[in-house]
Amino acid sequence: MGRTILADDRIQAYVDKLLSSNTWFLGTIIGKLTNQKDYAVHIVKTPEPLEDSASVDQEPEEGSQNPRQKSQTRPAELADIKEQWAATHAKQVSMMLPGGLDIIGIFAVAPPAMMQAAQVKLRQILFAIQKQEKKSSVADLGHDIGERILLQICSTTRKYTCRTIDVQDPKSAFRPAEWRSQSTGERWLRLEAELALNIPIYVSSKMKGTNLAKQIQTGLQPYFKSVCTSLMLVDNTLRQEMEILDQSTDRKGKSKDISANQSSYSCNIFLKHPSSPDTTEPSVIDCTTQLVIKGKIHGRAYVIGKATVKDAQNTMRTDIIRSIQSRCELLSDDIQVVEDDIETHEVYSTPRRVFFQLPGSSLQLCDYMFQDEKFTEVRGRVQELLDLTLEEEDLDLSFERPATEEDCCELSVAPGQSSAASAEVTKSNQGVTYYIMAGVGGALALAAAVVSYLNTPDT
Amino acid sequence: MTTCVKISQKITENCKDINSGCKLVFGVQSSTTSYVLGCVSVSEDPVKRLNYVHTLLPGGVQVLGILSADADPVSKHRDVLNCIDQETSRLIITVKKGQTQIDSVHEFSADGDCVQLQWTLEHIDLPSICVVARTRCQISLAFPLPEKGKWQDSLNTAIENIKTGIASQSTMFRLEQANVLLCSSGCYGLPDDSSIHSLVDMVGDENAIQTRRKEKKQVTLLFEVYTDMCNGCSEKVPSCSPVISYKTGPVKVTNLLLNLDTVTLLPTSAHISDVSKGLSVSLQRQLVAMETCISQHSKLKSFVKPKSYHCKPLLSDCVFSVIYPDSFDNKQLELERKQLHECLCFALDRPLFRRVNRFTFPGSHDNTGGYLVNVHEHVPRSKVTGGTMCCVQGSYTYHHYMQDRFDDNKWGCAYRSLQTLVSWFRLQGYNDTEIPSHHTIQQTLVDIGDKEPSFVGSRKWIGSMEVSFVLDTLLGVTSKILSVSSGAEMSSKGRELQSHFQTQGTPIMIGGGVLAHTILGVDYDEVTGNIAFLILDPHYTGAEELKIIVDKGWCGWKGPDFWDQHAHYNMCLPQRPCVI
Repeated sequence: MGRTILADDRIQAYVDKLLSSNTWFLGTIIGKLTNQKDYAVHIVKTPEPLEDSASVDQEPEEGSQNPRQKSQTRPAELADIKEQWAATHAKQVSMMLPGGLDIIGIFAVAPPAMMQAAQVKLRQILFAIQKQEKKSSVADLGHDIGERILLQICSTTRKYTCRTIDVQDPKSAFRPAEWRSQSTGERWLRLEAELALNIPIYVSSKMKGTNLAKQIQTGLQPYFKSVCTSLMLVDNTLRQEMEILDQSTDRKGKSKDISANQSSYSCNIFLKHPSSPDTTEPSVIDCTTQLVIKGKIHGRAYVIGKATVKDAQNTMRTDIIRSIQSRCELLSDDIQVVEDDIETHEVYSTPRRVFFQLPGSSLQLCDYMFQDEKFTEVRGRVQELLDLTLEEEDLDLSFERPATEEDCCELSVAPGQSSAASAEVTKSNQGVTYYIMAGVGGALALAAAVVSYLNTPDT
Repeated sequence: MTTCVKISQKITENCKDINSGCKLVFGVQSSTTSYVLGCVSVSEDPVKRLNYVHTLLPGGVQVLGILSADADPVSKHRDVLNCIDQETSRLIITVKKGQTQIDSVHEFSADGDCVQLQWTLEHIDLPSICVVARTRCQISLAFPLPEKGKWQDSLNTAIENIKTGIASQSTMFRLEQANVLLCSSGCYGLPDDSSIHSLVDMVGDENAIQTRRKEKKQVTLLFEVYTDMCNGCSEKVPSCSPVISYKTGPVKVTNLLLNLDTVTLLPTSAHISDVSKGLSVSLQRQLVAMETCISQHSKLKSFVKPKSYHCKPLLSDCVFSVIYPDSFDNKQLELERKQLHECLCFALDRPLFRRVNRFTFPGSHDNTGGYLVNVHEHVPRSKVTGGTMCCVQGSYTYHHYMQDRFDDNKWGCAYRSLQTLVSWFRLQGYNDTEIPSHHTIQQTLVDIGDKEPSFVGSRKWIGSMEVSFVLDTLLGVTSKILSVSSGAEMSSKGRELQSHFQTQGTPIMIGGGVLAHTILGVDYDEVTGNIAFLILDPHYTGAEELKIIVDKGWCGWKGPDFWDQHAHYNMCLPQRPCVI
């Protein structure tokens, strides 16, 4: 038996809107895959390849130009679309998702002949998205479902054809699946966590020449591993992993009074010091850069009503890793890597996480907002990448506090583990540069003005 | 408030120079009783000494007071007393001048009062007064190497930072064997007012071996270490969304992974809220010990990896944790061990702190390759009344016929007895020579010219002389040969055997006209002349089942009629080398 995808009925309305414009569309499906059923909560068309769309993809395509230059205008046919373009969109969208929601597939709207001609392309796109995802994923935290959805909607007959394919197996073939629209929204349980980060990273001189994003990504790996093995309290209780998270619903299924049930849980995360002896020999490495990431993040994840405690915990772990990664990637775009052995010390602030409601559901999606950015920039990104229209009051800024100059200042005078020894090293420093506002977020943000404060400590 | 003091009798038995100078005593303090487990010689700087001693002691064991033979110890050693934690009730133990007996025990209060206390001298069995907890975790240590100046300072800063983190509220301990998490403010998975027994009860029986004393379950609580990343650490981390400090410029950084492995002794009267404190203290002590190890043994560019070992020397009732550089061999660590022996007042005549002297934790298995260890501890007492019982000191493994998938039935008994002798030297840390196979034993005898080459592969017997040759060749151990012309004469050897077990403590191989056996002890009454011999019989062909071996007398006390009254016997008494 094939998979069953329960689609929120707002999706139907969105498809109808697309169909009315009499052209072809490609887009991504946002939702959740589980072992029983799959849930689609939102679909969004891939934006038109426009003039200035900075690719978030950090890997320079070998020898070639950036893909965005090649696809400056909308291709005439579905089959002409570049799969990298779709993958980049998927990647940007996934940065806006809380834990528990993922890109679970793609959809296409086209007349029969064009759809037929694009069959190979659609398959390639699904694999391209998977390849993109794999680059940034750390460890498998229950992400073992390799099936992705391909929903094809014939713009002539309005007929839906839904199939799935295992993108982890290059030889796999499409299997039929059932796309079922449902009007009663799925009951989602919300998980929240506050997590303090204090991660030192030493960049070895062997990494010289790689970009900053890669250096941070490599340096974060041990931390991500410890997140994967972390212990998590749910509502300040040490729960058994295999228990059902929501104990308020009775065995028969949904209780009548849904509002009486608990729908929000707080998580406390404890990082584990590995306990198996490590045999790595001591080493002295030449470092070119010392990084310290410090601050607090808000973790957010959603699970469906039947989820176990373990599902919930893994979903939260995934969110934390993805959120840290997203912030660092967004910031890295903006930091000039000093290639020579010049001594500098700068403090950058990563963008903060902001939330907004997915209309018609209890789910909130997120964006990362640099300090120099205004609401209009977030609004632009949400419009472009999620095809949602935001009003200023829809944006919830309350979950994270942006860094102030004092925060940055503290970080530069309290270097933690390197105070004694780095005295020699930093003596020649004239000052520390704070980039309170820095960064370019998303595909279409224009180059942001970098405001820097030059501060000379009394040394 | 201590009302009763129990002093380990091993202090008076084994402590060197108990009569000279002032010593620090250490032990465990429960709500009503102080257990004194050992003593430490005091060098010029008592504070330094105290700090060093604490790095050797498990968490929960601390310096409790002083021991002195001086007439007025309070005024004479006030400086030493002052450096001991004023929170504990400080003990003053006085020794009779010129003797090794304890004279009196006083408690010295903060305002200078001395109160005489009741005391007893006894054998202190740690697992019966304490719950043993072991904490293992890996901490990564990275510190920059300055171009000029001392890297030790940089190391010290890094270690101090880790210590601060461990001591903070954000450190949590999870019991590996059950879903319980302890922190300084309480615990998850158990009520906050639980006693330590509830933790022990949660540890499943399957992890514990049934001990010979069936009434008590012996377990080791195993803990993992976690850091709370939500609360607690907020002082060090700004509450804003993350900022990145980005510093460029060449710097050399040392990367080391510290494998912390600590022991904590928790008095059975302890409350669950005391546990995390005790575990944290152990980790902090070990971090200091590891820092010292790295500082002393590393050279710039070549850093050592510290590793911890827990030893329970035969001469003491206490467990000690020592840190050695992983890459150093026994020879390179001799100076280190000498310091340990001298500090803890142990004679320099036997290995106590080699890596093989490792302590077997309650509930865990001995790593002896499937051979039974110290079978004699399970046998019924001898029938001699009023005798003095002297047995083998330390441990050995039982080797007998048909082991190692090798059929030596009816000819290999002396070989097996020799294997037991070798095992004693291995387990006591004198030597790491493998237990020799029959083939190796025969080849050795051929190599030294004692036997013709055809001897290798034969089923020929060997005797006490051959056993002594092999011990000499393979282990460098010399042996004394004691002969009797008839088995009846064995009764007259009581005093010599007693003396052997007291001074040497090694198992004896006996052979001669007939069968070979291993003698593990003697119970001899000088007045009546009654005597019994503790025999380990290598002729056993069955499986490694303790019950059969004990019930059928394959190991047990035998009277003088055990020996063939008309056959002659030679005994090989291995003499242990004087090494540490």
